[in-house]
Amino acid sequence: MTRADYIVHGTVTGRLDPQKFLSDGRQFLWSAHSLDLAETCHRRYYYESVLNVATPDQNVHAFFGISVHKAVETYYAMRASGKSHDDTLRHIVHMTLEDTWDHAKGVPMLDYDTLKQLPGSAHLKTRENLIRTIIWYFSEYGDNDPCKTAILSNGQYAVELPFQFQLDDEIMLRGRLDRVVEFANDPYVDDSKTTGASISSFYFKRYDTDTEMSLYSLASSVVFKSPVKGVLITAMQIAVGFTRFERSATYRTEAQLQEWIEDAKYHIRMAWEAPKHNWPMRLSSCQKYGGCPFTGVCARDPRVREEYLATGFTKGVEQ
Amino acid sequence: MDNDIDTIAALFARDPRTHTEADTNKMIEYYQERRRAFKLSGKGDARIEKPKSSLEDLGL
Repeated sequence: MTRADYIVHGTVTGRLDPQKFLSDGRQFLWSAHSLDLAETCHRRYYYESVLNVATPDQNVHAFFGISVHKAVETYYAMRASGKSHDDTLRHIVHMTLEDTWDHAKGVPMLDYDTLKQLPGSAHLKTRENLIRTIIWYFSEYGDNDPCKTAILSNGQYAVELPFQFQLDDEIMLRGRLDRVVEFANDPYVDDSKTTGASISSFYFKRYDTDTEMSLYSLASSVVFKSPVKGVLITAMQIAVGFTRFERSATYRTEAQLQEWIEDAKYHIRMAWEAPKHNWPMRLSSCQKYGGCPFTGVCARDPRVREEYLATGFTKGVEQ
Repeated sequence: MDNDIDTIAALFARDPRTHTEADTNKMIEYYQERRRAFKLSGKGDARIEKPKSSLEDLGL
């Protein structure tokens, strides 16, 4: 994104991703993440989804999570092709080491000295902690997982399943299911989350009203024609000396999903109206969940926000 | 263990394209040993909460 592409305080003027946006600037292809942003604050939605800017620490968390997902996807693909657990794990560790090596500079990525300068728990998302998390994850869940990965009709394991479907004439929803599993004779979506926070029942409560989990519940019945009993969240607490794993389930009834669909349509249409009102800020959201990363932008005079955005932010990682 | 830490740190600092299969195995064994120690400490037992839907909560 170049600064000339957009004006920050007004109508979108420049290039928008045609895969997601209509020519009039309205987003038609929505992920749980962009929907979440639109519900939270239209100004934040504008910065993060429309302009696709992010802070360096947001990209660290996204990159770490994507690396874990890639390891999980590769693991099950290789196991489906007949490779042993040990061979697969060795391949994944080597692949992740290569993915996190800056080949141009000849140095490791996600190094602690860089990460410790970032806010929040970014300092925990080091390369060493990533490798440890992957090895521990497959030692914990590889061959001993009580949740058995479902097998698709083509013989492949049901992991990293992309989906996209029409919500109404103007709105499409998209996403990706980490894994579909069978647990206690029932089908579940299994979604992995990495966090720097301690995992407790309080941690899991947030998912009972979480947009992403509602979308996954809906997608499993709409796209895959196979309603699941619920969504399991496999949480990985990344700490300095260990990675702890916990699982919990969240559920949606038919009535809850219908309600969620109506709410989603409302929030999307509100987001479409937002440019006419200069992308209103929702100030009550500024300090929630550790604080919005754009608070520093919004706190500045409108005349200098564009310059501030151009210096302290970077292009967001596709999620 | 100190020697192991030095070996693993040196592996992390090296271009992974130069790693041998034995290097990768060493790294896996190192972290698996760390995990065993963590488990023995009693802090690392993974749990899964008993699945229960909101309808089941209501006895439906």
